[in-house]
This record gives sequence, structure tokens and C-alpha cells, in this order.
Amino acid sequence: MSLNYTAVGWNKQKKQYVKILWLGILAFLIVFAALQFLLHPNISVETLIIRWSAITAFILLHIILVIGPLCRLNDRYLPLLYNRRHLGVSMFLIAAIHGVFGTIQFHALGDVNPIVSIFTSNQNYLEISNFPFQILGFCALIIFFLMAISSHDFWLKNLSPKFWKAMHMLVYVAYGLIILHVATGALQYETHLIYWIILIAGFLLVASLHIVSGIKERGNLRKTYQLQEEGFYEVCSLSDLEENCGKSVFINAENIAIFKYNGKVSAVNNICKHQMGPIGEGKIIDDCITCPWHGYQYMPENGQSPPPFKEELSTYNVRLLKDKIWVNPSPLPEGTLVKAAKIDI
Amino acid sequence: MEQIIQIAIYLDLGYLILGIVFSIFFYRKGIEKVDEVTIGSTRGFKLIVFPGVVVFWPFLLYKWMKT
Ligand code: HEM
Ligand code: FES
Repeated sequence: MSLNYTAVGWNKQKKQYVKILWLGILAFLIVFAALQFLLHPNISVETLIIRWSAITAFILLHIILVIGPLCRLNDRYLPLLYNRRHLGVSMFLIAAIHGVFGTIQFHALGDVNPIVSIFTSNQNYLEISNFPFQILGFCALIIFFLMAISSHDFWLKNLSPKFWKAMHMLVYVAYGLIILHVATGALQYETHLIYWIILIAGFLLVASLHIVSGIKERGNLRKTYQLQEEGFYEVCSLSDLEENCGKSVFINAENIAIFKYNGKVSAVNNICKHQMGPIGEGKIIDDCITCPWHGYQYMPENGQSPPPFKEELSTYNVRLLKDKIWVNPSPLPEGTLVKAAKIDI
Repeated sequence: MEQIIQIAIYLDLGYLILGIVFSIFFYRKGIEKVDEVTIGSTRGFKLIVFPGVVVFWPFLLYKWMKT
């Protein structure tokens, strides 16, 4: 959507987002350090850094993982989704601090290459209480690294959205590795029950939110619409749509966004060309459908981005019968002009 | 075991060094051929995609060859 790339497409909200994020991270550092010095007056600075960065990255990872399903359940959370990538890159940087200090502290003192040492210093693969848990952390860190270095839009486009998406889905593999890294590592000597409760509660929160939002989405997909002749389906009443707002509908496995604006109704494909954002949850701004995730814009009647941009969505035929909206779910080629259905007043 | 890991690390290192060599040519010519949106993009952009160029260079080389 941009004419040329910049390092970070800063705007007011993004700056605020990153500011709040890093103030939170610093505040947590101060509170955490104070508590640790109170509880363990002899703690070394290295150990403090290892623990602070571990727990900060762990918390951020949970936030990152619950944002997606929360947004599917309630639009209120969309501002969090906006620039989730800054959260991701920050999480990687902090996890890297933990990984580097952990490696130095436990593996850099011998004469073996520290990375080799992570893999070889402990080979008790069959023992849970003495499992080489650091290998799990190392593999997770590699995944976070690949995600962080490919977070710019340039990579989404040039690695192809399919590969990019698949690679970024590895975050779930990394999450599993981290759970095991903590369960077979720190929790083998910090045996207080509370640590187990926190670990399991975090996992249950992430898992249940994914399941609930998945069920909700399936419900939407399942909804059957009554067929009319000529391939049009009745989807809802005009009054179900607010002015300048959209609605997502699934008909015959087609994911469609319908919009009401200026006394008209139009339908375009619901999947944003940028990062597959849900177009139907967006708004009409400056006469253009505007994606709620990062603001890509499309004209409602032809699905084209306003010049000079080149993105195009499929369009669909729409009809109005009294106050009912009918949509034909056969997609027209991307960018095809379809006259909007006029609302009679 | 130790030897296998040592070899794997050297292989990875070699791969990344190839990536750095590749990046020299890629920034001179390839980047604008692979993605025309990069024409006129900022230095900050080129810096921020650098780690990716070094890691994902075979993808970019393949795309460059196809143009
Ligand atoms: C090279 C990679 C890594 C190494 C060598 C490593 C090493 C360690 C070590 C030695 C500990 C025990 C520290 C202690 O109890 O004092 C630990 C704990 C932990 N690690 Fe990692 N780790 C790595 C990657 C990661 C990553 C990517 C995460 C991501 C969030 C992570 C999260 C944690 C957490 C949450 C703990 C428990 C915190 C605590 O000590 O209370 N680790 N790690
Ligand atoms: S997904 Fe990024 S703007 Fe739509």
C-alpha cells in the first residue's frame, strides 16, 4: 500500500503503542529487580537479568497469543492487534537477552563452543528432572528470530504470503517449546506449586480463547442462508448494518464483506490483500473501505485501491428487495466494477 | 554428537557468510528488480531488512533470477 518502503511506518498510534509497551517493560524491570534484591539479597546481576528477561518475554508471548482470538471475539481489542508486530519484535529482543545471558552464564566458561555446549553438556533426554531444557529454549529463540527478521511488509510480499503465514504459525510450536523449557527447567528446582499454577493457567487461557473463538468462527461459517433464484442469497436486513460500517458473511465458503454507505450497499471479498485482515470489520473512511488492521483502502464498487495503489479485491453482485440485502456469492474477477445497490427511501 | 553439532554450526555460518556476500550484490542491483516498491526507499528500510536478506537469500536469489 506504500509507494516505497520505510523502516517503520510510524504514525501517532504506533508511537503511543510502542511507548506504552516499553514503559511497561521498564516499570516491570524496576519492580522485579527491587523484589528480587529484597527476597534474594545475594542474587547476581546476571541471574537477575536472566530471570527478568525470561519472565518479561514469557508474559509478552502470552499477550501476543491471546490478542488474535480476543479480537475475533470482540472488536474492542482491535487496537491491540494494530501493530502486534512491534510486540513480537520486542518480545524477541528480550528473549534474546535471556538466551544470550543464559548461554554465557552456563556455557561460556568451558573450552567448548557455547552453542555446542547447549546441545552436548547435558544429554539426559530420558530424565524429566534433569532434561536438557535449554535446547528447547534455543529452538524457540530461533523461531522468534525468524519471525522478527521477517516482520517487515517487504518479507510478507517477497517470501509470498503463504510461506510467510506458515512461518509465523510456528509461533505455536515455539510456545509449546517454551512451556516445556520452563516445565523441565526452572520448575524442576523452583518447585513451589504457585509456579505450576501460573504456567498451567497461562496455557489454559491461551488454549481456551483459541477454542472459543474458533467455535464462534465455525458458527458463522455454518450459518445457512435461504436461496433465491438466480444465485442470490438473503443475508440480512438493511437495519443490521450501520451507516459506513461493514459486516462479514460466509456464503458457500465465500468470505464476503458488505458495506452500507451514502444510501448504497456494496460487497467485496472479506480478505485484505495486505495480511488477510477482516475487511468487513472495517469502516468507510474518505469514501473507501478501510481495513481495520493497518488501514489498506479499497473503493467499494470495484474493490480497487485508490490510485496510485494497485491492490484489488473480488467484488460481488448485490440486490435489495424491500429492506433485505441479497448477495450473489460468485466472486467476480478482482477489481470488477459492480454498481452498488441503491437504497430507496 | 559434539562433532555433528560443530559441523552443523560451521555449515550455518558458511550459509550466513554467503548471505552477506549476496547482500552486497542484492543491494546494488537485485533489490529493485525483485520488488519495484523498494525504489526510492529509505536507508532505515534497507537496514531493517538486512538480517532477513542474509537469512532468506536463496528466496531472493530465486526471485531475482526469474526477473
Ligand atoms: C538460547 C536460548 C535459551 C537458553 C540458553 C535459556 C536458558 C535458561 C536457563 C538457564 C533458565 C534457568 C534460569 C534460572 O532459573 O535462573 C531459563 C529459564 C527460563 N527461560 Fe530460558 N533459555 C533460552 C530461551 C528462552 C526463550 C526464547 C524464552 C521465551 C520466553 C525463555 C523463557 C524462560 C522462562 C520463562 C524461564 C523461567 C524463568 C525463571 O527463571 O523463573 N527461555 N532459561
Ligand atoms: S491486513 Fe493489514 S491493512 Fe488489511
